[in-house]
Amino acid sequence: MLATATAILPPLAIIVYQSVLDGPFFQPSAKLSLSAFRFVMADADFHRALGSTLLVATGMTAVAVPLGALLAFLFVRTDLPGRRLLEPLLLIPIFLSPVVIAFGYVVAVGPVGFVTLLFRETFGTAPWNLYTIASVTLIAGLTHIPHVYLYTASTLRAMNVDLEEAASVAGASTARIALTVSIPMVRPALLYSGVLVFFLGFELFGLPLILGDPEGLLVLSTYLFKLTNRLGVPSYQLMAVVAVVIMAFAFPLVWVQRRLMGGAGRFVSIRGKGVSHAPLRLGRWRWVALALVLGWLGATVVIPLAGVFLRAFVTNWGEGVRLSEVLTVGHFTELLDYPNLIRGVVNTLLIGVVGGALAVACYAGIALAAHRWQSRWAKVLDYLVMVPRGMPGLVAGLAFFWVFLFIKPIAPLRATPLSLWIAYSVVWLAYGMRLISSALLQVGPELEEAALTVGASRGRITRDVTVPLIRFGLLGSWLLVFLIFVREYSTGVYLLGPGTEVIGSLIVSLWATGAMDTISALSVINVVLVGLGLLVALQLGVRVNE
Amino acid sequence: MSELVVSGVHKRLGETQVLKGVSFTLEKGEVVALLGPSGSGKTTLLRAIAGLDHPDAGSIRLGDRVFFDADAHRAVPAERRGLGLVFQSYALWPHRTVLENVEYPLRLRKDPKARERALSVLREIGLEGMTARYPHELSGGQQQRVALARAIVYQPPLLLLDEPLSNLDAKLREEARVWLRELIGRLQISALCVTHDQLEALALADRVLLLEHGRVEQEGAPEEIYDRPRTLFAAEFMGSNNRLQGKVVERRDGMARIAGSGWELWGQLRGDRPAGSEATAIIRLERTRIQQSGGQNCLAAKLETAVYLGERWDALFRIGDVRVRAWAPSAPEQSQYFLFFPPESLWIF
Repeated sequence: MLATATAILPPLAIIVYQSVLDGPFFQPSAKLSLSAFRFVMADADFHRALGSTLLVATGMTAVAVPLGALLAFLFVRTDLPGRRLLEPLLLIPIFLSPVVIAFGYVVAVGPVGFVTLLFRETFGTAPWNLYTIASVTLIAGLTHIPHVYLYTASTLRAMNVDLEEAASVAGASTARIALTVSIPMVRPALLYSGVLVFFLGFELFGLPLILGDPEGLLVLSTYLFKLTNRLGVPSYQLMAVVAVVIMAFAFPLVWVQRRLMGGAGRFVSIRGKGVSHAPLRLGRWRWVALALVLGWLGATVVIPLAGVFLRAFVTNWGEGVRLSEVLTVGHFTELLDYPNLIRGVVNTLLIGVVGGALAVACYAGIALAAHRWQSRWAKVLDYLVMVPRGMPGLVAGLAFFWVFLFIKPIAPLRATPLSLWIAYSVVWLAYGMRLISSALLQVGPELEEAALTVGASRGRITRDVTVPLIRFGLLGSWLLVFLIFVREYSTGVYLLGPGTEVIGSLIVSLWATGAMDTISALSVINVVLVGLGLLVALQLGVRVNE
Repeated sequence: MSELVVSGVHKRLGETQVLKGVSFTLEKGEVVALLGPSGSGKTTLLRAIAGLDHPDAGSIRLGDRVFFDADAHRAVPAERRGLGLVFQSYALWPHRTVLENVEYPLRLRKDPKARERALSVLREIGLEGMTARYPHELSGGQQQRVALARAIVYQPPLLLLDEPLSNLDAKLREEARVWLRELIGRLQISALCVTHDQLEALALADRVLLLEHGRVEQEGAPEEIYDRPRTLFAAEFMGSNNRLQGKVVERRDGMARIAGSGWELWGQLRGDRPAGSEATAIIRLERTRIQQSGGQNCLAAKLETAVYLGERWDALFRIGDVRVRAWAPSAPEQSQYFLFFPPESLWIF
């Protein structure tokens, strides 16, 4: 409990403290002052960034929620062709790094992207511009559909099919059933996922960084990122202020999500009996529905990934370039010349495999300690876990960077992957805890009580009963945490330095230098790692949709 | 000396006061059943004795060991009480074989002969061929036996049973009832059994505690509970009954005359009802007799319908606006009968 608190609270404290100083916290001359707040509030760029953040967050919610709900209905309730095969694919966008996706879009449908060129050759013109707020919003909306899908689909699954069959018997068509029965029944889930997507809009970083950059479009997170070099000197107090503003939006949203989660849970209590029912018939609409699903998958997965892979194997790309003349594997062999890039790949693997295992061990330790506890402590822990949820990866990474600067005894850790691991583990604490607790929920309390009555101590019960019973859940959590850690990019941005390189943060820093060859090679490696992890997870039957 | 002494146990769960001062004792070698409808607090009481829940007030002792004493702020944790508990769901650990399940308590006690003793208990309950199986590979009846073996293998001074037979099918339950009674008797175990099933309680227990709303309503031998209920609740909870609402019109020597619209009967006065007050008369179905002719304490009744139940017929009669059921050995054929209510079997509360 105490250890959890010491890992969670100092980063938060240091950001708030820094935001009310007039200079970096390590300067002895820094005094308490609100000057940083005044400076930021007076900055026109800040207001523009705040405005576009709200716009993007609202827009992506408006895109993701209806489409996610539609997808959930199609997959859970109707006879959509190939839904068994397609379902695991729906979740791919969750596990792809947004920087990789954004990069893929640049390569595919940017001004000289291969799709753009192909289109222009065929039709004479390509009427779109990737570098606008609208396209950032659209892409963010499309890539966040799986979040809506997950919550809506699980609520739909838990819903009693009789309710729909009653409507069907009463003479309602499939579309009418969807609109008048199914969708209203899952309204709490829709509301919850809407708030979640809106909240994630504040966390967006990779997408607006890469797509907004060429036109100078800023959102709060990229504004924070660009501030680093704004004044020439380290403007920590300004960064802290922006971080505080982001958290001021994020914390209430996290709190609302928590409240809604309770409500969503209550709704699920109208359970079916697990009887398999015939799916609703789509008739001739089934092919339209299939085309819609495939179109979405094509737009959010196939196009960007194809772009990344293509770019990784060609020397250059532009108008009039013939594919056969430029094919190469040179970008990958070049990686070997840069020790920091090699370290980045190795560190990514290390933090995914070893760090993932360690993180799951920690999460399990905390969850087991809180398991069947007096509710008072469990409640405190519950709120504690929420704190990192309100800190987007970029902010948390910054906070940890400062913590490692500020607290001298642990300063030497800053240049080791350990600092990254700590930051990652704290950022994903809430996610990890949810994985473990859902595994623990499967263990009936009487199995532990039985051990208690035959004379086993708490420690022995954990070792002999609880842990063996959740070991498959732990394995699954490890795989999911591996995927998340390999994908993660924003948390490592500020901690990036010799010894702490990971693929995600390397791509972010390389983007500024325009090293497209290297970025594309690293992106491919990242996607392959995620793909392998996902394959293993699906093979083992891990429920990815937790 | 009493083995288990429970006194003045109170327990509140959320808003509801589940136990309102329950006291009882259990002698060595005795089997006591805690019988009550759902919500009567019987499972809470069992969990308090096992140490899985702690009461708010009262005390629990076993022999000279104080398990719980609210005034002395003393609560021995469940794992150090050394009791055996058979869970309603059996709670067999799915990742261990039958033998490993039964052996585990002995391993915890570092018993050098753990395996031998576990095997001998499994032999005792007739599962010697199943030791290497996992719980899900057993039938419900076999799982129940394993749960029992696990609870008695370390010879606890007291065995607690939580609805031990409720998860078995009706047919199996009848066999298990006899088997369990025989086993408990042979091993001379003291046992406390919680159940909502009166047949289970009557068959298993030497003494029954009838629980209602967190209080002991009545306690006594099974025959006493069934044949001499002291309260209306106890009378109605046991068996199948006819219930007549009326007014006490006369009292004499522990008997009373109760009258409704168009009927009048003599019965045993069991509650303190003065003449002129509203009262309820209860009689078990099997004591209500169908007759061809009238007489003392008989009422003319019109046959409404009769349901065939295999071993007997369950006939529904109407007396005025009151409905009364009675059992008949063969199909009733007339439309008019007389029903005899033996005065010693008609209880007036």
